[in-house]
Amino acid sequence: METANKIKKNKLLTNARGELSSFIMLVILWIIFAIGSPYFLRFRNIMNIGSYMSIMGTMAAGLTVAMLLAGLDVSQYSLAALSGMILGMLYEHGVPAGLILLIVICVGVAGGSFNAFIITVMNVNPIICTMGTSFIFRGIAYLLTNGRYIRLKNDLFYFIGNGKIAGVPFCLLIMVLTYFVIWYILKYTVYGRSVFAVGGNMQVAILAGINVKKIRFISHILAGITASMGGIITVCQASSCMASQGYGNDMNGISAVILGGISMAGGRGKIFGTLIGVAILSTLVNGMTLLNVQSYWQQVVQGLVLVCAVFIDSIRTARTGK
Amino acid sequence: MEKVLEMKQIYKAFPGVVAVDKVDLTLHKGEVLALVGENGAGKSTLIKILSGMYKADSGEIVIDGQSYSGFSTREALDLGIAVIYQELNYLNDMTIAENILIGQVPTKGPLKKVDYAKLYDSVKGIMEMVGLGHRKPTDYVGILSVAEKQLIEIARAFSRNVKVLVLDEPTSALNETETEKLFSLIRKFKESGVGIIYISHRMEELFKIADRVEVMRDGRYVTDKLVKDTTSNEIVAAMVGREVKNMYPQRSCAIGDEVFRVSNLNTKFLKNINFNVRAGEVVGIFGLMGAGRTEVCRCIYGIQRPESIELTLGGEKIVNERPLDALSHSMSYVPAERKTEGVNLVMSVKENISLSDLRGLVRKGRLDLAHEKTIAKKWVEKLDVKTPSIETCSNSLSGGNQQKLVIAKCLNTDPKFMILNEPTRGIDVGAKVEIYDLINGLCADGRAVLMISSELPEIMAMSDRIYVMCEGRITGEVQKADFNQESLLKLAIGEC
Repeated sequence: METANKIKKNKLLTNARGELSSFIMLVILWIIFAIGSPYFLRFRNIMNIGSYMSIMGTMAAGLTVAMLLAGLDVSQYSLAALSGMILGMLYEHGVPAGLILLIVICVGVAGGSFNAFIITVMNVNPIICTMGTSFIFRGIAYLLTNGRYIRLKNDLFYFIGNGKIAGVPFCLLIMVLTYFVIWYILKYTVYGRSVFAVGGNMQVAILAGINVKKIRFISHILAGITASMGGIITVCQASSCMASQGYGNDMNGISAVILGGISMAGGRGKIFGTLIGVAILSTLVNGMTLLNVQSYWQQVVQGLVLVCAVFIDSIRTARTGK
Repeated sequence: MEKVLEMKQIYKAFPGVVAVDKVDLTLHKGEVLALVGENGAGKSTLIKILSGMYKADSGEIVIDGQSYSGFSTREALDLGIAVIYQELNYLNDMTIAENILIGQVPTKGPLKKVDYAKLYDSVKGIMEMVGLGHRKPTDYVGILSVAEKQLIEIARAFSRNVKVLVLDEPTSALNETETEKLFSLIRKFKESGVGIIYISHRMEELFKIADRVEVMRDGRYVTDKLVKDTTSNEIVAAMVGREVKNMYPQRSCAIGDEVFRVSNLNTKFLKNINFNVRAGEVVGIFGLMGAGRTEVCRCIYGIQRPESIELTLGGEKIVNERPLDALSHSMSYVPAERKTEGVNLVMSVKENISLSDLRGLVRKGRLDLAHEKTIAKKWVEKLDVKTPSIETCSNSLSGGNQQKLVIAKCLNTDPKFMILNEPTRGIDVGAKVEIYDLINGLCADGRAVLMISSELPEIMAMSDRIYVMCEGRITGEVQKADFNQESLLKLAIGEC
């Protein structure tokens, strides 16, 4: 009987969906903040969290695919800044807003492809590659205007950043749509299944006739596209474009993905786990601000949460032997 | 005789499986104890507990009268327990002396600088003793042969004043003379009073070197006997737990036209490989480790690019530049390394089965998940895969059932030509017979099968023809009527 229980307990740890423990963590946070502050559970505050999380959330959605392949992208926030600056410049030159959005998404594709090329064709470690490109993207963003910032005055842009549909921020809807698309890709397409196959065991995937390079290449493009979407939302929310936008946030997306139970080793995890991870981080920032926690302390807490998340991941990985 | 080691009621469970179930083991001074059992019997787990790599859930280990419930690997070494694993542990880019004295390198001065003079000097005696006298302590380990690398591990054990020496399949990579040398070394250890646990699948060896044999099965202790009082049949029966009849089921199907031919296959290592396989035929490739059998498979299947190769399938010339090409030409490959190349251990049974034919699952632009379930159920039933459900993670299946998944994955692509590389490696006897039945079924369907195996009885029983390989060349083609262990082995070691 004792052994049966032991086996059962071990099973719970190995098979427990990462999302489940993250979800419990989220609920606990909500309870704590709801007790701590009367404003926390107000509809307006929740929508505040929603619009705050839409940037990190959108970016983390694409990042999740790369991380399911045991890849990584730390250049997302820099690519987002570059996308935002290009948006601003095109706006200054009087390009129509719709066309600007299209071009900026193409910037994301290009930036992602640049990463993908270095990682898959030149065979450079993803962390090192994207660390390098994050400086490149950020540097170009500064160079474009020599560090000057650009004000945006445009109805479409304002709506993307601050508009609401039935009280729900439009940018939050963009994020939700992004998650739906990525979920669909992962569940219902050959590409999505291949992502899990390659992330789980690359050798097996190769023998099954899967083009591993192509799968990895595309994942970095997805991370690039969602990065530029994050950039668009950021400048639209602020109604201004700054090359320093998102500076210092580079690890937030990665924290969210790991918190959401996606294994650093690849192959395991759910896109909705990432959504929960994003919600946890955003809730923390919002709740701590409501409770008047000093912003330096907020950083310490966020760092601790990330370390804990990686620790949990390493336990889980060790237990499954993968 | 004095007891040097006693393991009492050792129990260890992993998620979903009890690996070692209340096993006892006693070892005396100067004794060679052979530990035998099928794969998965729990020998390795028991040894890992002894070496401190795993901690037993319960039980007691008594060393020299001192009782322990568990210890770390470091403590195990200090207690005089040395384990030499199947996969050898050495650092290629360090010298022989550094490898032998790793972790106990002599130092001098307050800054603990490495005392190289002393280092090289102190290993000379040990090297002489284990038969590495012809090498210099400053030689790099990378240049040594496998047998010599093994000697380094043994020298390492010597240097630590070992009391219990465990050898896990030490001869699997050695030739006969090297094995003899190892045995005389083991006898030297014996004389100096060391207790030795010897794990091997080779029955003849046990009778040569062991004093006593302990049999394990399904994680349990079965029996323990003095070698002089037992026979190899008795030991096998104890290992399997039943008498194995009809190990190799009969096949009676007509052999048809040629399905597959490879000619002029050359790589840096392989020289001029030519052979063919006909419909309904099992062609075996036999050879010792390192003969180049797997490389042949990899070239045919498009995993590795050869210098030259010509392939024909069903009379047409084909080119396999990557596995996807091979699959689209109705070929499929069951690789030798199940866990690293065969199954995706984080995917479910269902997802593993459909993996090689994802495009075949697409209906109206998206994966038809309902159809996937139907397919998975069909194969699980057909191959009798023992799994709670098709949604179960393949990780929790036994080796034999994982292997069935790999075969199901390959069959799901409806291949005309199948390559099976060591299809029964590491799975228990019952599952082996099922795999043999499956292979016969493939032939009855008119498929052509290429089977690689290093087990002679298996390849002789299953093949219609055997090509023997040695050092990258085909040294002979033998027809079923002429199968004979000795002549095949001779071809495999290149003595013809």
